[in-house]
Amino acid sequence: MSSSPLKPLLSLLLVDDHTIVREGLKRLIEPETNQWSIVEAGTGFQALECLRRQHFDLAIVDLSMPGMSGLDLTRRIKTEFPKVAVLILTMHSEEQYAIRALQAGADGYVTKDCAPTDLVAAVRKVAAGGAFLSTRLAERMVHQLNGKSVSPDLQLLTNREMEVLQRIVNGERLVDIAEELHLSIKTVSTHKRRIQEKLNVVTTAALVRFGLEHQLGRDVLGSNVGDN
Amino acid sequence: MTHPSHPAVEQMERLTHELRVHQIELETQNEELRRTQSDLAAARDRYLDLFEFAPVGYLTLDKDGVVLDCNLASARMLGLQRSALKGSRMSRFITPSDADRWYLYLRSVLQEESAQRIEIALRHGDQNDHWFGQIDSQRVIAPDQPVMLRMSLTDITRRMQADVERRIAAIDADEREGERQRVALQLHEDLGQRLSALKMDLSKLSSDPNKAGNGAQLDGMLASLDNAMSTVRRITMDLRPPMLDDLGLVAAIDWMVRDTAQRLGVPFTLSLCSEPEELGEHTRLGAYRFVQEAVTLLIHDTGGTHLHVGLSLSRDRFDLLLRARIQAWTGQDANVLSALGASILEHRARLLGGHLKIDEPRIHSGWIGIALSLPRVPAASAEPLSDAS
Repeated sequence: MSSSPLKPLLSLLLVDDHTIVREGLKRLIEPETNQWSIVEAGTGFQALECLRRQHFDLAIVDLSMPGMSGLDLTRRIKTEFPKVAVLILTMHSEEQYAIRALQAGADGYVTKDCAPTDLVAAVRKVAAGGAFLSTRLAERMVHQLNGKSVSPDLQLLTNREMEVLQRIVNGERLVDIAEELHLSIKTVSTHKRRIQEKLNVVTTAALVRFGLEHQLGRDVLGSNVGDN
Repeated sequence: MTHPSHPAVEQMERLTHELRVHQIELETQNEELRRTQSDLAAARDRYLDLFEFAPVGYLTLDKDGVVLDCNLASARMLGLQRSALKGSRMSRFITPSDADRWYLYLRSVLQEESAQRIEIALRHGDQNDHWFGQIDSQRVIAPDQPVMLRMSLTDITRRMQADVERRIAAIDADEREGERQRVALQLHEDLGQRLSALKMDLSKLSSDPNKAGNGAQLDGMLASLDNAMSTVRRITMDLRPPMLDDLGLVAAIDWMVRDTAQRLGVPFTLSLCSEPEELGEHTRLGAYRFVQEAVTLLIHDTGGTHLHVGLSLSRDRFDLLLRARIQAWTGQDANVLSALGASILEHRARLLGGHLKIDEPRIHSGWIGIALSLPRVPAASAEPLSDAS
């Protein structure tokens, strides 16, 4: 652990198990120019020890660390030192990590390959009580959180019922469905009744609406619903 | 004119008649005895054939484990002439490493009324080479007779060797998986972090106003570095996604399905439950590899044009459902999914102790479904001691 002798405007705690990354980061954010003091910690336990000894405005935390993970450290900081802002700085660019980090209480999330200006902006904004996500990551998180997940009810349907439902949603008549699937009209009607029972849908119109809402229509199938 | 018969002649004629009747009766009885004797001989031959030439060994042992009687197959299996085998202790043919197990088995057979089974390593006579046999024994108690054991002996060496090979393959797979994890960790934690630090230094140099004419060169290096970091991340994720250990199975499947489907331009839907608390590392990894394999098969093998992956949790089950829509299947096989692909999934499902159901479309297009149901077990007993995917 080492500290800067300058009178700081911001007091930062840098938590990363890789010395080379800590050194690179210090050079990048120019603490002297910004009048920031930086204390380094190589593990989550060292970080907690530092937090008990002195006040910090912001903790910059890596996610992948031996012993206590960055997520666990974030939870501990937010529980024991709720006034300390937490900025996650990691190699993981996947939105699943970002969502979990924000759920753990992090105030910002940036990846190690981000532009230096982004990193400095993130430090300033999170330390000032704001939140920060890179534009690209924020977009992906919105897509994921608004992702069109299939209703769990739809999982109750068999493959054949899915096929019948999809054809109904596409506007095919029961008699045409029966001919196409080599079934009797009675069997197709039974499938339709079972689908309505399983989905708790009373009318055909409601059934079609349900199918369209869950991307079962022909038009929707042609598009990339996952990439929404 | 006829003379009345003389009494002596009449008596003689009657006696002759009776004798002829007796003769006929005796001949009939004799014929019956011959037939019975013939039947008995045939039955004896049949049972002798069944006993002597059976593909498994039959033995009768006394309570001390001494062979009283045996068939030819048992003599051949145990590597002795039948005459030499009779009177020998069965323990003579058990390998020393299994001697204690044999002793305990013999005791349990003598104590129990039902048949008992053991799989044990045996020797051919006094030779050192060994083979594996399955022994089924039943205690027999007859009035005024000493206790005896009826025993059958079956050669299961091939099955045991196959089992050993399967275990070795499982250990080998475990080691390969461990190696992948180690390499992924080194890539991410060593190379990846060094590249990150290098990127920070290059970024610093790039933003330096005194960089003179090196700006374009530095920007090119930064772009190359970004590519290298991206490649490291991709290889790491392909080898063993750190997310599986960091965030759990559900998050890893969420990422993998989105990533795979988006890269291949396949529309997809996801329905994911929360992570079952009791999932251990083995199940988590096995289930992840199962979904990874199934997604690959559904998209590449069957040409699926829409993918759905669902995870659901009930009180006693954890269900994984993968569906793909096949637009127009023109394959020659009866099934959309290849036999090899189905076998791989079955193998992975078996290692996980789960139940697999593959639902093929019955016409040239439709939905194909792969459902894996895993029993939920308390966390303390969730992990098997061996076997891995």
